[in-house]
Amino acid sequence: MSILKDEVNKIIANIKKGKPDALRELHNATYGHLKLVAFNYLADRDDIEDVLNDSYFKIYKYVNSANADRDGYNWMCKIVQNLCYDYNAVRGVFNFTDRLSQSKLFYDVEDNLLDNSQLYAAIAKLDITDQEIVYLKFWEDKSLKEIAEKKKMKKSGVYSRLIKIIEILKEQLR
Amino acid sequence: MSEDKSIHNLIEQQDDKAKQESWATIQSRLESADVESNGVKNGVNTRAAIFSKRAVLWAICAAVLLTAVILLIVLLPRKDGGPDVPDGFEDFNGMLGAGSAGEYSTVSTDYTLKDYAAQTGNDFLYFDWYDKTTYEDHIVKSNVTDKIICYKETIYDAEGGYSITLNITEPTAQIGSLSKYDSCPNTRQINGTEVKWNSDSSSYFSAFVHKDFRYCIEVSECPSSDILMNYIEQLLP
Repeated sequence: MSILKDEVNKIIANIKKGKPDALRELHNATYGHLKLVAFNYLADRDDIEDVLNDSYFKIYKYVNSANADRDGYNWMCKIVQNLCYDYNAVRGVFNFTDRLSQSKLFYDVEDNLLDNSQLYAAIAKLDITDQEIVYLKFWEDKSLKEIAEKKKMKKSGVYSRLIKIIEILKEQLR
Repeated sequence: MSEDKSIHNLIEQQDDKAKQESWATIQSRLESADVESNGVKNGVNTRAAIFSKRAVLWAICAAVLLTAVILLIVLLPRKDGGPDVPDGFEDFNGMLGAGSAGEYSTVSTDYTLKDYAAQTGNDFLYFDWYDKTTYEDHIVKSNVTDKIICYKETIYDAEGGYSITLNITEPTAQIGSLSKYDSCPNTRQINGTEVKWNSDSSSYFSAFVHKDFRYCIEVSECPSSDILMNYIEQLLP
């Protein structure tokens, strides 16, 4: 069961009901997540805020298209990813390889850490496989099974790696 | 995992300043665009505010009564021939604008392109996403003959994030609102069909003929022809 999916679906239901602060709540619960997703798929870091701005606008405009039975966070990720492709195309970049494939998940081309955050700095110290696992789990909200398939690992192996990674991160952030 | 929640919270605590700025930008954009979604306007449920339960009940009763009257008017004169649905569209040649003073008018419909294809027995191409997205359908009628000259459907691709408009006419119809499709300079072959396409500042659009009907398709806010071509590929058998 995904914590993020449940939280996002609940907020999306509140937006549909017209609860006044629900969109703010959605932004609050997902901005940091979607920012790294956008960073991962964008060729130019300068486009991040524009992509996020357009994404939330689209999400709000088309919130009725979000099927209540499906993963609302996954739907939001898809919108962000598609907008990233559009922004890349405007810049003439059609086949951008995401940073996940470049082993540069938290860094831009000039090797600057995104947002200069403690958390990102701690994750960037992990080996690349662990960085990928943590990204897939916490930012793209993939299940253990999906991560295991992508990384060609056993589900139990992914689970134990995640436990270990969280311990390391907690230690580093203490 | 019990730590999951705390990691998610930690992610959201990064760069709080950027987050606040982002929200301010989005909020002002939403306010200036006055965007509406499912009766929700800037976070206020206008539908709920406007209609009380009693008003909704009255509206439903009135709608049922009105529908019954319209059905009587429409169906009674057709006892002999069943529903009056055209085989195709009337061929039309008029380049003036729409509206009551023009040569044709656009009327909103409650049915979908899929329904219309079934009603008319035509094998129209359409995106069968009706159960999972929003769509809007219109028919365009000649003001002179009152015959349908074009069927227009706008459907939102929830997965791709694009809004697609499909107009279907007779191949030789000349309709002012579709004139931009007459001069597409680029061509491409898709599944054996010649597709003509072009773009403007906000969209990519294309026209092609399939099984005696002309399809004019436009993808709004689309940055590349590949996206348009992908949709046409999905449409064409």
